[in-house]
This record gives sequence, C-alpha cells and structure tokens, in this order.
Amino acid sequence: MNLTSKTEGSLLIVSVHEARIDASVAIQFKDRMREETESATGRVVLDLSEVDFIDSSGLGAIVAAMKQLGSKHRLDLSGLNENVDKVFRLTRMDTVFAIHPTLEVALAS
Amino acid sequence: MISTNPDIHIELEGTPEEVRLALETLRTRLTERPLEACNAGTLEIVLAEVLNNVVEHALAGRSDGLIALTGNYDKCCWHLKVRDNGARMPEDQIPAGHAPQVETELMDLPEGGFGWMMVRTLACDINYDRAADGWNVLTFALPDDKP
Repeated sequence: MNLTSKTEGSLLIVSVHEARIDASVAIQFKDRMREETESATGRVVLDLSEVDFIDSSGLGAIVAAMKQLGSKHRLDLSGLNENVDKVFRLTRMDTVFAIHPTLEVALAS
Repeated sequence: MISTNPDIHIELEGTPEEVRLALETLRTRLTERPLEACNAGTLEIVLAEVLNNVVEHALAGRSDGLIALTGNYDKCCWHLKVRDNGARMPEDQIPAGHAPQVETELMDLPEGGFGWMMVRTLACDINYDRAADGWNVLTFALPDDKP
C-alpha cells in the first residue's frame, strides 16, 4: 500500500499511489494511514486523484482513518473520480467529509 | 446448435484478492470492446459489493470457496448471475440493506454495512435462489438509464 505524505504549513497531505482501495487492502490502508498521520498537527487532506476505484470496505477504511485521527484533526478528501465520488454519494458519506475537486482547491480552502 | 457466448464469464476462488483480479479482468475486457457506454463504472461497484458479500458471508471461514460470474449486455441492460458454493443466505432472503445512519458523532460513524444498500440502490430485478446442487444463485439487472 503506497502512501506518501508531506506538510504544507500546518496541513498534512497524504497521497494514495494505488489504483484501488478495496477489501483486499482495507486493513493495510488503515494501518498505513495511522503511520502517515502520526505527526499531524492540524488538518489532513487525503488526495485520491490516483485512485480509480473504491468499494464499501475501502470506504470503511477511510472512515476508520478519520476516526483514528480523532476529533482534533479534520480529514478532508480531494481528487475523487466519478466512480469514487459515486460511492461517497450513495452512502451519504459525502455529507461527512469535506470533498474538494482537486488538491489545489483543498489547499486554498 | 450455436450457443451464444456470454459477454462475461469469470470463475474465481472466494478470496478478496481473487475478487480484485476478477474486477480488473472485467474492466480490461470492457475497455477492449465497444461497451464503453454501458455503465461499466456502476457495474464494477455493484459486482464488487456482491462478490465481497459472498466472500465475507457465504464463504466465511472456507478455503474451497468458488464463485462463477456470468453476464451479458442486451438492449441497454446488463443481466448478471453470480453463483457460489457457500452457505445459504439467512432465512433464504436477500438482506434488507438499510442505509447505515451517518448523522452521528465522529466515533459512531459506520465503517461497514453499506454493501446491500448500494446493490439495492443501483441494481434491479434482484433475485436469490438456493439451487438444487447446493449453490447460491443471485441474479440482477443493471439498466443503463437507472441513475
């Protein structure tokens, strides 16, 4: 599960370099998110622009990642393609996360 | 007698890794053919949920689980059949698939339970049978015009 992160001021950007977040990698994703966000001091943006597909297990892992960050750090999302966005809308998780069209928009918000 | 080949015929073992491989195979096949307009994204979402449910429930704890997926695209509609050699559905019923509540405190947010709700929202004519050979048979349709 290839995740990288970088900081921009107090913001932490985590980028997912995988085509799929699905049931076969959901646990690794959650564990890698914990490692990458350990040093977060403020808002975290999860950039999904390289992700083609998520299933409900992948969605659950993103929700779990937000929970493990705790209430002190917001988790925003950016770069959802049409299919990924559809999964968030169907489950109404689009009402839980702030979703930005691109990372640039997320950084400016 | 000429028998028409189904547009999709994939057999897989009942593991999450095989489900991923099957969906990747399906995606490659759909982009190779002039089926681009046929709701490939929605098809992948629904099949992922159906196949994951089989692996996680019908085939839970099994190492000899098998799944056979067939489908064809006709008159702007996918017709899918998923068979597996796992345990029958509870009470021989397709789960109700109620939407998990998302208007909650952060720590109470649901991390699962979305699968059947997604399938029921996106697919239609969903039917389940326990066949005489002891396999589960789930059939459903995905018309292009369903949002």
